[in-house]
Amino acid sequence: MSKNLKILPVICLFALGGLLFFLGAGWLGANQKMAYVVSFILLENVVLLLYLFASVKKIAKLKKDELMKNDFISFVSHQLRTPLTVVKWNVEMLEDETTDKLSTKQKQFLNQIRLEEKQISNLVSSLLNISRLESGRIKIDPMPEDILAAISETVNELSAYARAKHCSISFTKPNLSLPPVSLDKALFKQVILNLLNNAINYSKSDRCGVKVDFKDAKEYYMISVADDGIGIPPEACERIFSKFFRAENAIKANSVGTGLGLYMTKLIVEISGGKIWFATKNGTGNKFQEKDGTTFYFTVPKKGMKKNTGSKGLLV
Amino acid sequence: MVKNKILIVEDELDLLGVLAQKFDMEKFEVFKAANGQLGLEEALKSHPDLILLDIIMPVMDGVTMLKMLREDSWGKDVPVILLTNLSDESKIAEAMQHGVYDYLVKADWNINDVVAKVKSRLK
Repeated sequence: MSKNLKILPVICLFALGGLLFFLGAGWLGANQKMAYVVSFILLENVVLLLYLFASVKKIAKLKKDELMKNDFISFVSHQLRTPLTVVKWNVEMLEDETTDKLSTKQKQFLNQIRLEEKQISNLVSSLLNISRLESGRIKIDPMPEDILAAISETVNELSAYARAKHCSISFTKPNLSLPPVSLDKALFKQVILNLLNNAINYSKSDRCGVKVDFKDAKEYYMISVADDGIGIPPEACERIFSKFFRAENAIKANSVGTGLGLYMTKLIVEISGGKIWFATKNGTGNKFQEKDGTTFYFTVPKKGMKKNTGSKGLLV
Repeated sequence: MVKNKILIVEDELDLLGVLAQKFDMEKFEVFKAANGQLGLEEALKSHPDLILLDIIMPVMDGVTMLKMLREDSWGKDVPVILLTNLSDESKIAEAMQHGVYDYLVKADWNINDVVAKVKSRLK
């Protein structure tokens, strides 16, 4: 949007130039001053053309920089995967070799290495996914699916993790018979998984109940994930979907986190033709909700997710 | 007991080392090569029971090695499992046309599962 706005003054000046030309012609008639006006306007337009050319070049450079940054992230992420694999395999072998021989403390050390490796691997996968989404290289291959079954499936997949965190997820499948919806199931499920993971990870320590809902809303289906957790502070509301952003209370509640989950979720929803938003207890305006915690909403077009003929799938 | 022979062709030497160590511990006779050309020479010399083959390598890549291997009267039938990276998608499709048992994305696998896959093919 900001790039388009930069061209706006140029277009306005061109229009002004044209207007001056006609006014000049009208006021001065066919006398000698006309020649000055025409020369002035011609000169002005040449300057404006040069400005326009420079702007276009600048935009092209920005796009090129963006692509280079994307390539760089993709390259580094790929390069990190090999050493991480070597670490993972060595730890695995060490564990196999030393079962029953290690003290509790030594086992803790090994466990720590394994956890850290897993964390970096997840970060690398997230960076690669974002690079694929941002550059449009992601493959979106929608197939006719039972959308309600896909939601249930995702909820079930996460229920063991939720239980381990003393959390319950409820999804009451509505009694609707819907036609199949064109979904890229892996991407659709990833959106719900990310939202459910956040709902569980940012719950209050004394309780955790997550509720998933489904609504038929004209041209869209709307899915919501409501938690009764720590909520989003007012100052964080505008930035919650930004890349690498984490709210202060989220960092306190859970030190592990990349600030990439909601950014990626938004990219997936929007690239496939939907919208995503939220309401929270401490929010203002349309971001406010009465009840505790936060509710995220996202839509899927009834006509299905947009197809994208990219070459790369999503890493999970 | 006769040991199963495995050839690992991989240019990332740390990965090659850890795989070789693991298969050695699993009582395999291990042969190693750091690129396709060395891999082809080693394969034709030692006649392994299975080859773990990386795709992107200097000197000669895995797909070229596979094509040349398949032209040999012994090499045409030896089972090959590709060791791949995420970025190798187009190469995997090409390699699959030359009789590959299976492929695995290295970073997504535990080493014990790699061993299990190899053993299940050699059963």
